[in-house]
Amino acid sequence: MLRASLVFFALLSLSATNLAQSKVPSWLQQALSLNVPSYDKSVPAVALHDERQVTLQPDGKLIVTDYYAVKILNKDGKRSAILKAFYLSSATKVKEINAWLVKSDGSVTKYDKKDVIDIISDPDDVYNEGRVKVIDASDSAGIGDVFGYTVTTEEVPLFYQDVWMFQDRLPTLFSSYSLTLPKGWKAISLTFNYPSQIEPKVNGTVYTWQLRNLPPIPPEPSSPSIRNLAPKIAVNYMPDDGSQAVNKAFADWIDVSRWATSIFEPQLIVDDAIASKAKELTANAQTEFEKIKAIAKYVQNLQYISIDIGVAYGNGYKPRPSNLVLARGYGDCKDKSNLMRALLKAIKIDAYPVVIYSGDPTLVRKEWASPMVFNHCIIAIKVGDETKAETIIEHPKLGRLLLFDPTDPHTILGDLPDYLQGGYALIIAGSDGDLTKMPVTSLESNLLERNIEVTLLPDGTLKGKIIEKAKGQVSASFRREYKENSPQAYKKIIEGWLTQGTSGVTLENLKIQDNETVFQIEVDFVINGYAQSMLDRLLVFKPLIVGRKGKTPLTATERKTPLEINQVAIDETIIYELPNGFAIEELPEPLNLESHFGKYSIKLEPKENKLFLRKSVRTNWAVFPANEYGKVKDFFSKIANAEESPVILARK
Amino acid sequence: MKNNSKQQAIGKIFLLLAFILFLGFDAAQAQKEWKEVSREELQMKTGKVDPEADAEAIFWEVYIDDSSEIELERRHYVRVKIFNERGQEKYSKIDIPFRKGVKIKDLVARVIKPDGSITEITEKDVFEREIVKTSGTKVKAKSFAVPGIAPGVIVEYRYREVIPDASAIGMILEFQKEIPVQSLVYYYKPFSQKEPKYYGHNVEGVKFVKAEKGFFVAKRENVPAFKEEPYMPPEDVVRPWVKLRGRTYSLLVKTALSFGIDPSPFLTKYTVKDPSDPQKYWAIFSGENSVIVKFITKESKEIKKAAEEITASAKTDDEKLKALYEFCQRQIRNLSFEPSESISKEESKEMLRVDSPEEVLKRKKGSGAHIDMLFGAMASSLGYEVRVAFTSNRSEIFFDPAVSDEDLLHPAAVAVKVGEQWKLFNPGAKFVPYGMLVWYEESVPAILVGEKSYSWIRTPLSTIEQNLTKRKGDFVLTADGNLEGTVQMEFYGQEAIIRRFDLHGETQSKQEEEISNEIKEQIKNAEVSEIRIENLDESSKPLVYKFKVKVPSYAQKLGRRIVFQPGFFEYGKTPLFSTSQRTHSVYFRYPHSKQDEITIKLPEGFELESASSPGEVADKDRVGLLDIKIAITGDKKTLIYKRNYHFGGGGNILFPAEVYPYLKMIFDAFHKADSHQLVLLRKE
Repeated sequence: MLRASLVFFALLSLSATNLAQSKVPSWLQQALSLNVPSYDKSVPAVALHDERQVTLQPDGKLIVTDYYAVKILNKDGKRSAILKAFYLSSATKVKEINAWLVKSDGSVTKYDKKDVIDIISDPDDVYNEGRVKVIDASDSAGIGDVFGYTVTTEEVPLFYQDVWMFQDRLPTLFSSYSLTLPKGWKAISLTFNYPSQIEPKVNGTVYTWQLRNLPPIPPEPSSPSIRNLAPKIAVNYMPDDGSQAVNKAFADWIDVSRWATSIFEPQLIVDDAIASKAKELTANAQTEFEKIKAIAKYVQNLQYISIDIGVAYGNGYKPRPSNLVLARGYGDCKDKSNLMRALLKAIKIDAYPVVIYSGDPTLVRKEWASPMVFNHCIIAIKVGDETKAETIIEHPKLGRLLLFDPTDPHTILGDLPDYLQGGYALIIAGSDGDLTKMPVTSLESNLLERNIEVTLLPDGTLKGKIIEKAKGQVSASFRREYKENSPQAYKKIIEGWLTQGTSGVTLENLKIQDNETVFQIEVDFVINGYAQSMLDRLLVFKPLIVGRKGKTPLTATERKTPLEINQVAIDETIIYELPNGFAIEELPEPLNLESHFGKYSIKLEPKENKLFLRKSVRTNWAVFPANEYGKVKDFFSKIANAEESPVILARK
Repeated sequence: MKNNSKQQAIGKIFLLLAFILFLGFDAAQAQKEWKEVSREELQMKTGKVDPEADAEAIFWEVYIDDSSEIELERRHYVRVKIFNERGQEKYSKIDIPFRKGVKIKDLVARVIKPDGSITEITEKDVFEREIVKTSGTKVKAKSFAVPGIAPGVIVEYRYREVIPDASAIGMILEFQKEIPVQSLVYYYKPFSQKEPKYYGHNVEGVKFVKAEKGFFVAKRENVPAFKEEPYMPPEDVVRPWVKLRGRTYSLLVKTALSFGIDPSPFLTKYTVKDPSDPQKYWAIFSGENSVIVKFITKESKEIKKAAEEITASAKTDDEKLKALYEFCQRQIRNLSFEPSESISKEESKEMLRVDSPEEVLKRKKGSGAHIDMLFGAMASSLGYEVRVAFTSNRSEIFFDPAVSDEDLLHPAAVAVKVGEQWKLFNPGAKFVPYGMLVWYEESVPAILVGEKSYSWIRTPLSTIEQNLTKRKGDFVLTADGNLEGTVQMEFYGQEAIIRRFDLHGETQSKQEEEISNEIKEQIKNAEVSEIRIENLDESSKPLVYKFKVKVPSYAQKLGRRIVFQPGFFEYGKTPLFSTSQRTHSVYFRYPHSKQDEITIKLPEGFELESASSPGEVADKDRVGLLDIKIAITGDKKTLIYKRNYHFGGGGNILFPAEVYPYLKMIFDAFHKADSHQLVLLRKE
């Protein structure tokens, strides 16, 4: 009987597959027949087929067709049954768009143009040509169903360069990128995030790169971005003689600098308005640094507004003329950098635009010279020896350069947002420009000093004062929080910060001082019942009042991806005045940790009727391989445990 | 003749010129329509309504002209003063979204610096964007960046919205904005020069009074900005607004279609409702919807036979109705609660329409609404009076029947008269147990629509006892501070309904992951394993979770002592309310209770030191109560921790902002008691 049932189900499934095969294209039929290995239950879906075919036609148009099929493995995976095709309204023709939902019973639903939702890609921009065509089958898709689609677009490529990521976080059974070039053209590729070079199969001028059976890349806490984890290739293509490749494919970074200079330079206009503004801003400045600072502050405070028009023709890399930006009083990152250059030029200080990737300092790699890897623009200012700052680099051709981000309104001149530090960026300075390593500010320049003086009363009430002094990037984040919230909302945030550890908090006074170098928070507070009284004999309390590390988020027993640790520098002192009639019964053991992850120490010392706590943390930004996870986890677990340890006082 | 023609031609030219001049004049007038900016406005440094505001609207005016038969026109004029960088950021870009067919005309904007100098936006500054486009719809926006925006400036803009084939009836006028407004004004010109009909919410004293040129004006002054708070009532309850009303026409065919029943008998029938007389309004509403009651109560031998069979062994009314409820909920396949992939095309059609409740019985499947109808038909066949209950949704609005607005109601349950009492049933909601409604349909007015009459009742609110969570944990604490053991959680009433809705449709592994995540959210380093879920689909039984848990370093070791929190289930929770000030009322969805029982086997060689229990924490009316009792077994090896908690006693779930300090104090005291720690001392 069992045997008969199995046969019946086998027949049923066969007929279901046949049903589907008659209604879907052959590539999808093939994808449907693939055997899916078993994955961890958290894997939401598996990409059966992920392919891009790119053809450069002799007329210069690029035809790109994507083929994608995904099988839903759990309810979260339903979100994968969505087609999203990005295009530029001014330059890309979406020539064909089709999708299919193949249900597990073999029935097929076909989607086409009439099912497309066409949405703006960035609703925050005043205007952006980027749009996305969406076919959303996530509501109809169920577990076991397969969603597949093809999208064909046509455009004239801005560059003869491309990047192909062989997967996202989903496991991928088949991934392929093929490039068909006109006769007499060639392609070269570079491999990233893969243990060996991914070589193409070459057939005439058709190049094909393929990978199969790629495992999932699970989302894990403190993990680098997927762009730095998924295998990918960067491709350059050009005619054999290089004739048509000028400003389309780049031999090296100097080549990119020359191209970008030709885009930026005409937009640098120093007219009377610019000159007069520069004069007005620097009227009271004495030193070179003060002059730059006055201009920096003005540009930082201009409103950030992005208007992207003509992106396909290179305008995405082109600032608006500096005089126009000054007149309208707003701009995006390149507009601000360009305006700042113009204002500096008006007072005879040279500066250069710098293009950079914001958000991941490891993303830009020296090996592949391309403007496509950047998403942000800052400025490098030529300074004399009298100007000192940690963000000054010594450039072999351009001399001393002070790096500054005029888009970040909270990071002062002399500092650089942490997400821009340590990576590569391109200084745009014609033949003198090159890819350059960005500076990393020292731990001590980003120090958070926390000093707390409190009195513990016999009933467990704690009252006292916290003074936090933040420097560098810590001050920038504190400043951001302070400026982006109304006084009322900010007070609520501080109350919430105090309440994280306990209840019954009264915030009695809150004072903020910001001298731009140090951001200081001063809080007077009372916490009723902070220490727990036990039968009026013992008082138990956690000596760290705020900012306890708590339980580490690194709870998983194993790790698949590398682990990123942030730069942290904290010095904390707490002085407790202990209640009369009580003596210390138990104190947590001191903890001293020192490894290549960082340094940590915490120590409590009684002295007369006082208890002194001293804590120090130093960790540098670093990425550690997954095999070091156990040690990192142990390091932070020890800290978490130490910071939760209480003190016990006993009545004398 | 010729002369005449010439004269006519000249006349035409003059007319054209006049027209062009007129156009020019009109446009020029439009440019001059900016109101004068006062010196006081230019020099304002802080808000008049809110001195801490980032930006404040000096005025916000909307003209609604519904006098035309062919279109509705809305004219907007807003003047905003910017005080700081946050205000600058908020007003740096202005978007005016509009849908297909709507025209945005005469958009003008300008920025006025404190010195009185003006920068106007030019045509080039305005971009028209298609926000979203589908084969049937298009939403566009006119957007512009505000030039020279900085703290201290005034930003003002005007535009006209022309909406074809539209009426102002049903329009909701917001009387509070996201920023403070000194003067918030709506001008309204109703169709046919009639008096405006409307009703207001939280707008005491706001009335439409006659103004010029057929307009009526309603105004609110010094309106603070709207701000969200945790545990506040629904936004539409706390915000002030006015809804424009008028006579409405309802097609009965629409009513039939909305219930998924055969619409053919109602093709030509319609009703007209006037909101000014609530009694008449609701009578007509009831008449309209009586079609569904007639559909349910139509005699049917098959239904009666089935109902009699199902209730054969039942003696009391309660037993009979429970048997019918269980049958409908468990024996009829509820297509509304099945994932789309398991529903065939045929079944999708069946969900849209049935010809009689018998059909649902015969098919043994139907939508949630069809299952409710079958239940009603069966109850009716046994001689019970049956009505259809329409309620509001308490998660959206607190409804008052004095407001004649059917938009605020939805069909919620079948009402069955038992003795002199109406009882409400919703077996079509798969996880709602017999005798309960979904929380947002509790404690709201319900109109019970019968075949020939209607009545109002208030739906019952479930009790703290009904919405119970029972948690049991048996743990072992080791000398190095690790805690390990088994946990069982039982959920009743609304607690079970909500969880069942959340877990419904997930794969088993995903359900387990969600339970594990719930624990880890509270105790980050908890290791949860062997998760089992029981009674997920059986609404008559409690929903049960069982699992094993291990928490490394749960307790802190200190020399000779170990300190730990025995209240495992509340470990890691932060106080419910963190802020000292409150604007809105505090609102809980339903009364609820928790009963915890924890045993912890203590590590060998340790004994309790200075053991104390937090005892009872409660307000004087016992709206909220927490009672923790800690004991130790005779052999002193196992700790017993019992926790009884409830909130919402006496049905109190809504508290005015004035009592917030007291409420916060109670919840702080709960948190303190829950965070109670014990100390173990190594035996000498």
